[in-house]
Amino acid sequence: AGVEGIIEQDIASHDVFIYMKGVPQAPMCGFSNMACAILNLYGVEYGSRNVLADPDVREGVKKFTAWPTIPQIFIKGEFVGGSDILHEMHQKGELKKALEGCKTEE
Amino acid sequence: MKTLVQAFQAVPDPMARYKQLLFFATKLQPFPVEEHTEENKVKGCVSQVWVIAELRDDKIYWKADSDSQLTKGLAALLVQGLSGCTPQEIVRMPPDFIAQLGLQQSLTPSRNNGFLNMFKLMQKKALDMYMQQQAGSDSEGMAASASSGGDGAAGAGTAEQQQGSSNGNGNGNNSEASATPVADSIQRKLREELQPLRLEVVDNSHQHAGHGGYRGSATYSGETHFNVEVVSARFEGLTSIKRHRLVYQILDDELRSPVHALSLITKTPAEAGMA
Repeated sequence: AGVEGIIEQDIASHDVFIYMKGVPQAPMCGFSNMACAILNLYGVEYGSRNVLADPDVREGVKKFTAWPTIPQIFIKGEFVGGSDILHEMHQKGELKKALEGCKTEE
Repeated sequence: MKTLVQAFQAVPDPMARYKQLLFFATKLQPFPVEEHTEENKVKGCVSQVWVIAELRDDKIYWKADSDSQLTKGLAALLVQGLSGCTPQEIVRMPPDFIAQLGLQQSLTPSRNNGFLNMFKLMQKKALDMYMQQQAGSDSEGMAASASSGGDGAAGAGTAEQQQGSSNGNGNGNNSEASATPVADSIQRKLREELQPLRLEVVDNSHQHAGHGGYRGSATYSGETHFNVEVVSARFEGLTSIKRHRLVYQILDDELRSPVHALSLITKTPAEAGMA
């Protein structure tokens, strides 16, 4: 469907992509905020889509990943999980590894 | 930090800047000996350097110590420049100021590297505080220590176990209508499916009041956001993402409505120190 196409495009467009509430400069939810904070710490460039602006995508991405909550983070086109998992990966040093080779913010 | 950078830039020659740095070392506040831990130590530094952070009024105040005068000076610089900043400010600060201080000619490459690593440790500690603020500024202190990532498990253990066992006698579901049907249902299902050694279900909905999902459900009990911590042997061999999926599967009904946010901490008994 149309939404799935959008999602496929999104996650291919950047090494790191986040479906979130709000935008990175102004997250509208604590979990989305945390996810962005972690990504900012690593200085990687990431794309984002505000699910609050698009209810079809909000439902679509949950179906796509069979994951019921937002935010949802993709690294190199692959779904890695939500903010809790991102936090855990960061604490364990796994996130650094996962982000190797990803484009960084200049 | 800006004022410090300007102060250093105002100093005319590298030798004088170096002396200024050593002077800074003398300004360091005393550092508690018990904080000389691995967790507080800067990795990748030629000397030993320790850093601790304290949160007061939403701002971080730093203390540092080192066994060498030079690194003491560098640490003192960071302590002064970064104290009184919010965690967000520190996390978002790019390391440009390091070059702007104009110390790079006065320091060997390994010293320069160590300085950067000091800053990175401070950013990491600031981030940890930032996330504690985000996840756990509620009145449930247990939830806060639980979501700060694992180390809290031992300390918070007794209180959580008490709560866990009081519900574990099957008294969680009263025969009369419960004021917290969703929380009850979550506990019941997770117990049945995962036989947890520890289960903590905290309703955080009030923290999210005022954004979309909180209002507006016909059977509204306000139970929309939960923090759940589970210790179960059923997580063994599963990656985090698989563990979360398992929990989501068990709680599929609740997640259709009204719950739309579930903060999960999933551990095996070994990971929780309960093996």
